[in-house]
Amino acid sequence: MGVFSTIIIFVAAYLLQTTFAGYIAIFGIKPDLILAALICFGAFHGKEKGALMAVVMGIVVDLLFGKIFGVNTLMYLYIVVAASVIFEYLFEHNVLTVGTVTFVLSLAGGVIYSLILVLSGQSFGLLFIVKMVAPYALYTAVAAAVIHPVLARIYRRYEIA
Amino acid sequence: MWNFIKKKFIPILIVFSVAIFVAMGISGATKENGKASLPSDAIGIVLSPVQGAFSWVIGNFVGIGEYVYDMSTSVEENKILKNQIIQLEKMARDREEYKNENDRLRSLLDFKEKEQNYPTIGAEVIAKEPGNWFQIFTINRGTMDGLEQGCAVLDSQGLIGYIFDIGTTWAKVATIIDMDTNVGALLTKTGEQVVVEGDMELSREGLCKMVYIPKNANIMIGDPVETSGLGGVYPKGLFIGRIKEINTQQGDLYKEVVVEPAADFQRIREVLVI
Repeated sequence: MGVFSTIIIFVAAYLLQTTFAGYIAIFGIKPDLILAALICFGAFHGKEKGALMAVVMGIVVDLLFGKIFGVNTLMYLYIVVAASVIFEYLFEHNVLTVGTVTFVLSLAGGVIYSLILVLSGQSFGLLFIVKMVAPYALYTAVAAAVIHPVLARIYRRYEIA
Repeated sequence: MWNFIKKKFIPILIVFSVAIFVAMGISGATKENGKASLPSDAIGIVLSPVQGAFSWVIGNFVGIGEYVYDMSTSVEENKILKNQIIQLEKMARDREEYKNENDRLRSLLDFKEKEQNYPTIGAEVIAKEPGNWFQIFTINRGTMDGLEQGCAVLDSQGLIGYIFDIGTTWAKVATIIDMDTNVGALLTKTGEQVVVEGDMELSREGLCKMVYIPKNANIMIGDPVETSGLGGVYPKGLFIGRIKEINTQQGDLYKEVVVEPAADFQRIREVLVI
């Protein structure tokens, strides 16, 4: 799998997400660089390895930032598995398919997440969910479309994937 | 190993999901003490120096960009600031007069002012919550530096939040704009007790709301709000911000008030912990 390159990719994604993403927020909304990196990773390596990395990154985020352990782990896991399965059916993945799949799945994930928050007692309207989740999904899809060719290049150069 | 995982992927996924749901339930039930779990603390100890260094590099990189931008707008800003200095000098003179008058009146009433010097520890922000839902960040100080859960966090502008989870070398701070945060506050002008709380929608703009304001309350836009000291988390008298918006709907018993915190939550880098 190229353990060293995988560690570098996800440590970089984590550090950029927790330190840099706030600076590129648009109207207070940040892209999820970790999720974008995970989806791209799943596209290149398949659902099993994608799921493994999703669990590792989800646990790290949950341990360090989560208010309730497990929410991010499950969210990352299901999104990455779903994305990897779609790429397996498509037989190929490129900037366009990765961007589209990331948009659809992060939109679904964001809606589920916000419904969990509503069920746990938070009150915000449906319009707000749309206003919040749609730009987040779009921004994350753009991030995935940027990360995918970078990973492709790294993997081609070092013949990893 | 991989062959086994590939063959039994769906059952493994189901078992793992159930395990995480159980962990979620346990975590939700035992989260009250505010002390980080052992794995959480261990990862935090390893990652916090790396995050600190990375955050420093990113902060300086962004700082250079901001400096270049600031230079291009500095002439106009200079004019505005000079005008503000004149106004502030006048306000300082007025304040001095009020202070003298206040001292005289206090001594007449034989009223001893309580000293409000709290010990503080400086800390740096090393990471911010990766998602968009919660307004949380991590600082590079923990129990090793004498901090504990519930300590108030502020910057030079005003109140920022409180420590809700703490490890050996790091602490997680929930800001006052986070949707789960409530602050006992009072209106400096009228002395009325209120509650300032985070709101998911307002937090996008760095704002929060003030609740339980009676419809007939005498409040105006621009009124200052400070901590009341009630609730035991925040000491009394910490500046929170100013009233930005007052909405009164017909039929409602209370006013909806939006508060603009003094702290700029997008650009917090250094904080003080009380």
